[in-house]
Amino acid sequence: MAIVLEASGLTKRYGSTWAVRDLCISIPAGRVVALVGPNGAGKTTLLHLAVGLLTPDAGDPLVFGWSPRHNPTLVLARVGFLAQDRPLYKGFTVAETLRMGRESNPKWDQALAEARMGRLEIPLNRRVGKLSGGQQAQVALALALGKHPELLLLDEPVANLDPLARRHFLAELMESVATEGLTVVLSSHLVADLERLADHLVILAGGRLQVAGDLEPLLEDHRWLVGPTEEIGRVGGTVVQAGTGERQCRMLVRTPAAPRGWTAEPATLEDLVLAYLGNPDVCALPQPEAVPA
Amino acid sequence: MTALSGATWLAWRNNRQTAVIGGLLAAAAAAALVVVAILETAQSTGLVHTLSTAFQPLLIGVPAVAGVFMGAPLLSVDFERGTHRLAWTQGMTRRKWAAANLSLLMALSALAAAVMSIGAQIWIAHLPNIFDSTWGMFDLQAPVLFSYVLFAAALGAATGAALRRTVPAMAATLGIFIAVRVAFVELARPHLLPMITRVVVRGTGNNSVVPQGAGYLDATFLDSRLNPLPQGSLIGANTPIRLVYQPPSHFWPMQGIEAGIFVVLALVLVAAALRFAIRDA
Repeated sequence: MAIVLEASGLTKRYGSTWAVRDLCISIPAGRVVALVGPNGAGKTTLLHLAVGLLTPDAGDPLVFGWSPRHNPTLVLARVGFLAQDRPLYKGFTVAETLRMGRESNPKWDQALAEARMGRLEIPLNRRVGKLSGGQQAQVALALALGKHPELLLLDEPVANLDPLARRHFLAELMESVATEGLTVVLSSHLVADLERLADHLVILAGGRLQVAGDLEPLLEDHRWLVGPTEEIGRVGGTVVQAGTGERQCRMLVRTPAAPRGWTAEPATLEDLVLAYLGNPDVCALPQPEAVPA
Repeated sequence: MTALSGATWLAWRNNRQTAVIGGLLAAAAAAALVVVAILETAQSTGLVHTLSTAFQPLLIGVPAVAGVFMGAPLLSVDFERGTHRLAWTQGMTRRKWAAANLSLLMALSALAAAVMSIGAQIWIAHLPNIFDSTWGMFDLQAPVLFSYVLFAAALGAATGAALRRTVPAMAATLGIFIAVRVAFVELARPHLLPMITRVVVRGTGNNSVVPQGAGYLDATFLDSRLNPLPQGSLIGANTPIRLVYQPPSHFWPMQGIEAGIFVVLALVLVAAALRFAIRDA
């Protein structure tokens, strides 16, 4: 399985604050990764490190095997990035924004970008600042996708968009994922949006990795268990979150099977995310693979 | 400007408004200077002299304007709006982005400064004798005026890249520029070439011992041992005088030296701006 982005011991400090601390991460190709965590967990720092906007204090990340800081052009040619708040030159027309993409990217697909604008009925001669927030987001996405990236990094791409614009943006994104087969890392607070999109989950807490893995096995492993409080000792696995009543308790547990006498319910992505965010000390990380002798 | 490409196109697109306004102002100022120069020769009236007098503080302010309004916003606007993250994550390196912006700024400032300096020189050449158009207008001569514009523009770009906020960068540019200028004019300029010292006795020999057009003239009465006389001493016809001054022959060499110093400083500041601009953000 090809690894698109990997890092070990990745560390970035601002003064005495650890933005990212001793992070080991590997993102497999072809995944749509939901990058989740509370504010200040290090999501933006991780994305900035991956695209070479920041220099790590330790543990250079590798994107397609290259260091974004030492080989910026090699990495940038294959990585699309959409920064937080979707920065664009507001005084440029849409056509000029696409020209910026053409002038500064060696592999630029003008026809693709223009076709996308046409399909979304965004006039090329309109100033970006005069477009709606949703349209600006689409222009920013088109700019990031115009270079046919193999990896697309999106930092809170749908924040502050109305629900309709959010849906259109994500639909556009999913279509590109389907046609181009690219890897996406998407940070968001809106877990509900990620549910339909993501097939891989990364949760950061306090600059460290808390959960990482493909979503399907994670969801299969986790379940809500409801049973008598006195039998709580019979529950194996890792308890992520527990709500204990006098007689009954309900717990989100990472365990392959429910004990006898307990009811099991499937967990959703949102359950998982909220439970882990609420309990930052519990981890669900891939175990190191056994090294063949 | 379809011929431009890559980072240069982006830099031009981002600064073309400033460039056009700056260019028009420089052209208008140069035209006004030439018109007043023509008027000074054709009909040298009080009104024309008033205009000539008004030009002097305006011209002295020109480099500061270039630094504050062209130099300081050049890179700081990008940092302030977060668009540097857009530019830096396309296919070009930060260095290329910064270099394109700085080259454009310096090329445009040089062009505007050249146009203005030529205008100023034409105007100075046509001023009547009532103006001290050499040492009294040292700052307005083409070489020095030109170099100050380049220096101020580079200073603005460097503070903008270092502070990454436009308004503080503008204020810092103005403050540093004025401080450097005042310090240089007061402390360094008179001594760019060694002064000439002469001791003469009034009333003897010819009266024009000080050459016409000398600058920084300083006269001290001396006693018979050639020591300075204390204040309030009696001055006779034969009291020796020590004259210290810059002869007119030093004028253009000193212009050249000062212009050279500020052009070199401008280049140093451009290099500093490049370094500041590519730091992580």
